[in-house]
Amino acid sequence: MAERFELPCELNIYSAQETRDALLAWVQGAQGREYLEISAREVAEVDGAGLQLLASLSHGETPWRLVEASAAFVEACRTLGLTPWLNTHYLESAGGGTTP
Amino acid sequence: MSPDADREFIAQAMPAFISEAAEQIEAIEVLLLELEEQPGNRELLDALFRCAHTVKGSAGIFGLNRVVDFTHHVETLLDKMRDGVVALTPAISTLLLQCNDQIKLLVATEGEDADTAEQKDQRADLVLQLRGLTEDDVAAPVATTAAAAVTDVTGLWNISARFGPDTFRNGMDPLSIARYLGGMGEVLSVRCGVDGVPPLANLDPESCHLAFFMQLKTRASREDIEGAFSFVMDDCELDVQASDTSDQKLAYAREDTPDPPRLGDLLVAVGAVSQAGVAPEVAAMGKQQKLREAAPAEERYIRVQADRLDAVINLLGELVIAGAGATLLARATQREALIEANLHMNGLIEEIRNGTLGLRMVPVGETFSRFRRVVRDTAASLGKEVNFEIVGGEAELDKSMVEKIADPLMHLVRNALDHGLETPQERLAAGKPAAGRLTLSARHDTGAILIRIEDDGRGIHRERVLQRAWNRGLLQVGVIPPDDDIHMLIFEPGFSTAEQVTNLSGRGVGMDVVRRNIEALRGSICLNSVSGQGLQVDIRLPLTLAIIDGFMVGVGKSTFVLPLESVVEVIEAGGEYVRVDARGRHCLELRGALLPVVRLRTLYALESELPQRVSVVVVNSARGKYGIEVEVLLGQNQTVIKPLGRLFRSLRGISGSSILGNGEVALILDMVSLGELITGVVHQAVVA
Repeated sequence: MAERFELPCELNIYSAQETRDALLAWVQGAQGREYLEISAREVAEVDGAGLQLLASLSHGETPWRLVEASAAFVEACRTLGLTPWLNTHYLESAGGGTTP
Repeated sequence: MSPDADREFIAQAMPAFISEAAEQIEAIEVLLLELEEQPGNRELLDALFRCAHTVKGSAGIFGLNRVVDFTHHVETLLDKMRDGVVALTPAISTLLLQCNDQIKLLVATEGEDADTAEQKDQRADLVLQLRGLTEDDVAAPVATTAAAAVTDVTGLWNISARFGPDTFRNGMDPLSIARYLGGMGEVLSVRCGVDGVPPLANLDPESCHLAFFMQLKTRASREDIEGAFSFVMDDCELDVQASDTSDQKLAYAREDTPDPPRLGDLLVAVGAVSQAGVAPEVAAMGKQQKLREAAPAEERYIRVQADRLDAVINLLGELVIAGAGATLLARATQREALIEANLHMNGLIEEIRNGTLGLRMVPVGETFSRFRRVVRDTAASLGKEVNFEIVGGEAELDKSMVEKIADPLMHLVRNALDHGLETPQERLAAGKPAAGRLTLSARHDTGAILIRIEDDGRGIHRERVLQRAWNRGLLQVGVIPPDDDIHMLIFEPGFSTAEQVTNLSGRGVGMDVVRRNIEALRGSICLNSVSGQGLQVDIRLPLTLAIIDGFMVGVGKSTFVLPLESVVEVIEAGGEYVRVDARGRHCLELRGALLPVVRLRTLYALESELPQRVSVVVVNSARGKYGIEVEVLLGQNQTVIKPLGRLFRSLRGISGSSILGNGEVALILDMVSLGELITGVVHQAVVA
């Protein structure tokens, strides 16, 4: 099981179903971890449906944190008021992904 | 989406926007004219505001800034009217109509980069007039630039939006809306509401469960902010509240409230204040108002391109022909089950035909209501007063027909205003009310539609028409035909009796074209004039141009089709019973009355032996009853009309052709011109 989940380049409505299935499968395989680690390093296009996937992840049993994020992703979170996700506390330096 | 994809999307959606905007603009005009008649009608005013708002909102999405900027001013005025601050006067109504024309122009010319100085001036002038009405607490600013689309007051707004589940599926995105709002001013805070999002295992990722709460500092109005949501409005819980107050606006609204203020006025006035933002109650009122706006019957339509529908109808025509062919073949086999199956299929084809032709039917009232504006402007420019009435606008007619009939009708309406109705002085002198009456009505009448234009003006001046016809050589001098024929002379080419040629009508080029256009639609026109009391113009049109129920007959080897609706009866009394009267016309005695009969064999020089038994089909036409002598009766069939080639256009008595099931061509007889052939002088010339 991968250490972290790499969000796709297109994090939007077109890939939402696919991403959700992949994310769900990954989450189920990652049970028992303290944190789920999500990387948005590759995200180039993002929309509300894409962000909603992560909002949905927040309602799961295991907390998650963002370990890396592209500029497009950061801008989208700022625009929609999802800045808590960008909390620097969670965001590790580039190339992060260490297990806590 | 990437900017490229955005551009592509906009380019694709633009035609739909333009056609929708055109509909809205037309609706605005109709509503304005209706509102003129019922100035107090709040629903009309609300509908008007909605139309303007929709145009602005969708223009905004497409980045048509000129439309947005200009429409904003119109919207502001309409909003003031809704708030009861500005009352509708004829001057304002005229201004709004001019503004609507301007919006139409802007939408139509949006593809072009820049507009001419003249257009700019005109627009600036309208904007100044609009602003003069909406900002009358400020002296009309002469030097202000027209482009300023935002109010001078910066407001702080609390926006709360909870999006409906279908938001994503409808192609909308809360993120884009938040971004758009951000572009309107300064976002002080924004928070995404994710409480409604289910856990991943239960999430349908294409349903939207998001909400956001934003504090926005902007100079834009409430309408502008709400405009950002116009495409998700249907399933979005939106609450826009102002969080600061503007004392000046409050005072202004109080001043303008009628004294003593009625409760309604007061509430509305407070509503006006809420735009700068004061009381929380107002938000509730805003919601109520939104509910009211959403209430009017939401009709469900699918927009279909006209040529796709035409393609289906063409195919259907082919299907009807093929069906008839199959039936013929089935009959030839004499196998009952096959014939039965074919009959059943043909029954279904007929139902599809009716259903499909029904799709093309539109209420004729849409065209009629266009005339309100024409009547209003024309009457004003002629100094006449007129009450214009539309009756039966819901009668339906084929869309292509509606388009083709618009011009001739327009001409007749203008003619009635120009030549028919008198000036108020003349009317009073003649003992009539000062305001003339002009009625446009439509109703279905035995397989046709009857459109009637009726006025209570001076009617047709019989003597003057006669004199003119003599002078112009349309009639032999001294010959006085029956009154009906005299009236019809006004449709002759080159005829005009107007003493003063106006720029509206009266050049004598119109009426003959009107008649030609109507006849080209297989329609007929007929006049009923009472001198001094008015004129009634009746236009009869078939409901569709594509397919008719036909009655097939045969003469020699040729097959002819008569429109079934014109057939009265068939009698077996042709041949030797048909006599030739003193003027060389064939006729027949039918129940004691003389019935003129047209002998197709002679008329079209068909080679055939006169059989022992012939039938006479008795038909009804605008010219009265007459008979058509035929040799074989082939029965009823659905006839798909094909136009005649140019070579055969001049053929009298034939309106088109049709291909039969066996591949042969049948000619469709035109009852009206055939009737003219046998009752008129022309007959003698045609018949050898």
